Amino acid sequence: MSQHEKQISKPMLYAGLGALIIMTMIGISYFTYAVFTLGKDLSNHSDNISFNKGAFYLLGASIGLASIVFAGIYESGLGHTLSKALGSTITKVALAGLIIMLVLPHVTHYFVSSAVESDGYSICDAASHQWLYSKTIVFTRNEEACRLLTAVQ
Amino acid sequence: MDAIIRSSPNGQRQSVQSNWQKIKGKIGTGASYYASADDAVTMAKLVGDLGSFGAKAYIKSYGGKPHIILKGHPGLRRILTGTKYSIKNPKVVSMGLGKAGAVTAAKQGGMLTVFLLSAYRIFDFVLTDEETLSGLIGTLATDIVKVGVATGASIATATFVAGITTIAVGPILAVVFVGVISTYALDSLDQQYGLTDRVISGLDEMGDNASSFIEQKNRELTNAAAEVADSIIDYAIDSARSIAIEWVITQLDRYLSPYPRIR
Repeated sequence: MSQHEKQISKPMLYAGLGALIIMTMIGISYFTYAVFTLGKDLSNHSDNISFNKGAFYLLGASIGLASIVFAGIYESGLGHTLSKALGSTITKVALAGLIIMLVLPHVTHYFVSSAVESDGYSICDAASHQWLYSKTIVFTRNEEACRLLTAVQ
Repeated sequence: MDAIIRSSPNGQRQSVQSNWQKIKGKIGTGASYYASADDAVTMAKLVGDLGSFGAKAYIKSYGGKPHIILKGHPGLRRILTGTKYSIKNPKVVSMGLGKAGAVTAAKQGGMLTVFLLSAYRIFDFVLTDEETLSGLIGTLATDIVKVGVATGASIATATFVAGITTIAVGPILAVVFVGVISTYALDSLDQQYGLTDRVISGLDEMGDNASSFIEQKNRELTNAAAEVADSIIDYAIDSARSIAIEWVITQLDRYLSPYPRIR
């Protein structure tokens, strides 16, 4: 019979699981919003297209975190023992989340970059931003659009 | 440094300028991703050593103490060559397994990120002409707070996940996922509410206030010194006048007196 490293109280369990679920929802929401905004900008051929690369890390992270939350609910919330097959599936889903997290942003960046640059857009460095994973790349149709965008900011 | 590059013989050429910006950008990206790349390398080593993504590694108690149990063929592994390890075994901790491994990885990642980000900010401050000291201090302050909060959330999650599931890789994966989500959420909040900009403008304001305070005190001190000097001069003039009058009276009295002087 496998056991946890440390038993935790019920209120702490519910609070912790709640926090992780909220974090998962935040990740999914940011990702969905970023995809929606990018799709809208691309289809409207806007003067400036904002590619929120950071939000694309969140899909994989949310999938992975959701699988860990599921394992926690299954083992500690419901009190079941994790079978070998289920444990292996949860680990695989979590690792798949990790791979998606590491690969998706760069693949998306490549395709978005190729698509918009072939359409005549260029990166507006002054309006772009990066802090660790959180990276937003702004593409503008011309120098003037970039200048206007920076002036507004 | 931007000015030095511009004033170099080929500094005005577009290619030189763009290469210089690329070098600066690459240093920034390196500082941003190094800690995560380190975690990814640890994960890759772990998965590589366990043999597959689905390899079973779970926690079980022996003699009241938690141990990591590894299923599969130990002979095929290079690092974790046993089937059972104490949760605090250095090999287990270095591979990020269990609570201790995950917490150690989160702490090291957090410290490394703070160190690299600070080094990058200072580098940027030295090399970018437009950067101000308030900008450097303000950005560093918010960087450290954001990384600290994200690291704290990761450590708390590692401890919590180790308590709710027997999946041995659960805590280290949770550290990575929560680290990414919290980092992004904190930066979004910073961008949304302009927290870093507010800190910088607050520091600028404080600097201006300090300058005007020093200027005012300087003026007051000069005025006070001038007043003291005035008083001293007035006193000296008054004294000299009194002495002169007294001397003249004495001399007049001495030479013009109707009474004969007795020698």
